[in-house]
This record gives sequence, structure tokens and C-alpha cells, in this order.
Amino acid sequence: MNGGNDTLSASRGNKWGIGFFRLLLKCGGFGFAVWFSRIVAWFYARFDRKAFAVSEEYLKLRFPEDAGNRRKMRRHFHKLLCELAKNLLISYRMGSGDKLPLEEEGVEYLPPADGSGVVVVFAHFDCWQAAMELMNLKSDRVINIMARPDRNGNFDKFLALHDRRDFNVISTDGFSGGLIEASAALERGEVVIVMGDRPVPGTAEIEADYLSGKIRLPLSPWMLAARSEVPAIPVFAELMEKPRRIVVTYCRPITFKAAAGRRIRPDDLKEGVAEYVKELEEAAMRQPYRVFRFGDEPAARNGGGNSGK
Amino acid sequence: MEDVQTFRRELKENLVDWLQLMDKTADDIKDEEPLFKEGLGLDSLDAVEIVIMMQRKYGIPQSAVENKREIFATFASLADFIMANRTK
Repeated sequence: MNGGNDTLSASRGNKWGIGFFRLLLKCGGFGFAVWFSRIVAWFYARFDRKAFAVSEEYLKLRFPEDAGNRRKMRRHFHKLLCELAKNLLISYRMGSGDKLPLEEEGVEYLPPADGSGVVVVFAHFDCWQAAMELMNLKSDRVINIMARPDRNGNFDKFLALHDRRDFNVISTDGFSGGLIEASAALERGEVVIVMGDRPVPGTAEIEADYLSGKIRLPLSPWMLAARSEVPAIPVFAELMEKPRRIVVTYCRPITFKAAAGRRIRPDDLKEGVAEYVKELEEAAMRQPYRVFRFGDEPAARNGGGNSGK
Repeated sequence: MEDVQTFRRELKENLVDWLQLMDKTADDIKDEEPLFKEGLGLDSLDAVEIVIMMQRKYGIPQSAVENKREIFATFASLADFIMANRTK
């Protein structure tokens, strides 16, 4: 599920780090673990140049007024890391059976179970992984999730994402990146969950205006929806306090005009992608430190991806 | 019984047309060359387009090609599969 070869959370979630946080939760409880993680986050913010580099892309877009000020950028980075750590702790608690209450808003946008398939588009925002543990999605239909096998096996267990037994996993490592299987699932009227905010290196991308600059997004969610003539529904999960709960919001469906007798072109998808980017922007404005969309390191950016034809 | 060569020619033209391969003609598609990455150089999005084309033009349901990557190895393997399974 983690996009990219070396995402921040995957590469830093090694066996010792995960074990340490497990111990903190067990000995000190959630509040203590969150407090302690802020200290750990400070060290990463101060000394982990690679982590800072992959976060800079988003932080500069969100806080362009501070882009030239290293000290302010590191402060933003520290706040982001604190939220990330809290997020991971919540995901772990969920995986251990300590479920948070979940509210779902906009469920009416999901097509009925005997209706068409639907592409549900997640973003690396807030507690998206915890939400997947709980969300209902009107699950009287088959739910598929397009995911890459997590290279960091320990981290996979930590998040317990794959404990969700009612999800079929369509591996994106396979031939066609899982798209043929996803297309067949949509034709059967099933749900296909896909990440929409970060392209896998080497796959087709589309560029859009985002915050103070540009963002590159994967083409596949939109192409799947357009080709299968089903709606794409962006979903955002947010941790709310007092009382602590997760609110999953299904946004208005994005639909595309069918392209009869020819392949879908990126131009066919631009309007729909722009609608999605608006939702991403609103999320970033609402909760700037809960956007966990980490870019490639600067050296990798020059050689990755290809534009949709 | 439809001539294999005639069908393969027609399929190549359909592929060029459907996939909008601007810099290719039917003659550029070699029977035994790989379709993806090398050879014709198609990508995963093209794979879905081919599946949809098979459904719309030849009546082959998507479920018939799921998890069957061998069909897409070369143009010849794709053509043989379509000939054997078409309903249109």
C-alpha cells in the first residue's frame, strides 16, 4: 500500500523502532507514547536529512512563505512527524483490537450493491490506514484493494492493514500492475480501493495544479473509472477529538465521459483530476500536518515516471 | 474457417487504431515480439485498453483474461487467444 521505493514510514519503521513503540504503549499508555514520540520526532526533524528531503516537496507547496527559511521548514517538519507518529500509534492500537469509534459521512454517494462498481480513491492523509480497519463501505459487496506487498514485513504487521479479511488484495506488482484484475472487478460491480495521491515510480502520471505549485498523481484510478464507466469517489479519514473518533468522508463522485472506440487520453481525465485535487487542497488547508504524501528524494525525481500518452 | 493471417492483420490494425499508436503501423507489429516493456513497448494502461477492446470488438469477457498474463506475452499469443475465444 505504500507508494514509492522508500517511503518515510516504511523505511523508518524497522524492527527495533516498532518494538520500542510497542513497549512505550504497553508501559506508559497512549498519552505517554504520543508525548515521547514528540521527542523522537525532534531528533528525526533535526538530523534525518533524507526524511526532511522527501517531506520538503509538500511542505514548500503548503507553506510557500517559509520555503526559503530552513529553521521554519524544520519546525513544520517536526509538527508533521509528530502527527505521523501519533497516527502510527493509533493504527497499532487498532491492530491490537483497541478500536476507535467510526463515523461515515457521504455514504449516500456509494452506488447500491446491485449497481455499478466504484473506484474508491484514498489519499495519504491522516488516519487512512486506521480507517481501512473499520470502514463499512456498505460492504454487502466484494471489496478489492490495490496494494503493493510491503517490503518492510515488520511494519506491515505493525499496521495490521492486512488483517482485514474481507478485502481482496490485488497486487500491483503483477503484470499490468493489477489493472486488468481491477477492471474485471469493476465490471462485476465490486469496489476497488486505490491510492490516488502518489504515483508508483515508473507508472503513468498526470500533473495538476496543487496549492502553490504542481503535483504529480497516478493516472490509473481515473483511467480505471473512465474505462469501466464507473464513478470515482475520493475518501478522507480524519481523527477527531472530544470524543476521539475517526470520521470517514466520502466526497461527491467524480465521473468521466466514456471514450467510445478509442483509448482514454489524459486530456479526457483532466477535469475529473482537478476536482480531486481540490479535495486534496482542502484537506491540506484543514490539517496541514496530516498530509503524509512523501515525495521521492531529489536525485530520484529526475529519472522517475512517465507521462500518460 | 477464418484465415489466421487475415485475422492477425485485422487485429494489428485494430490495435494501432484503438491504442492510437501514432508512431506505429500494423506492419511494425511483429508476431513473436513482446508486447510490453520491450518490443511494442506497451504499458499497464495499454493492457486494460486491450482487454476492453477484446470485450467490445470480439465479445471476450474480462473475467476470461484475469490472471492470465501468458495471453499478453507476444502479439501471436494474444491473437491465438482471441481467435479461439471470440464470440463476435
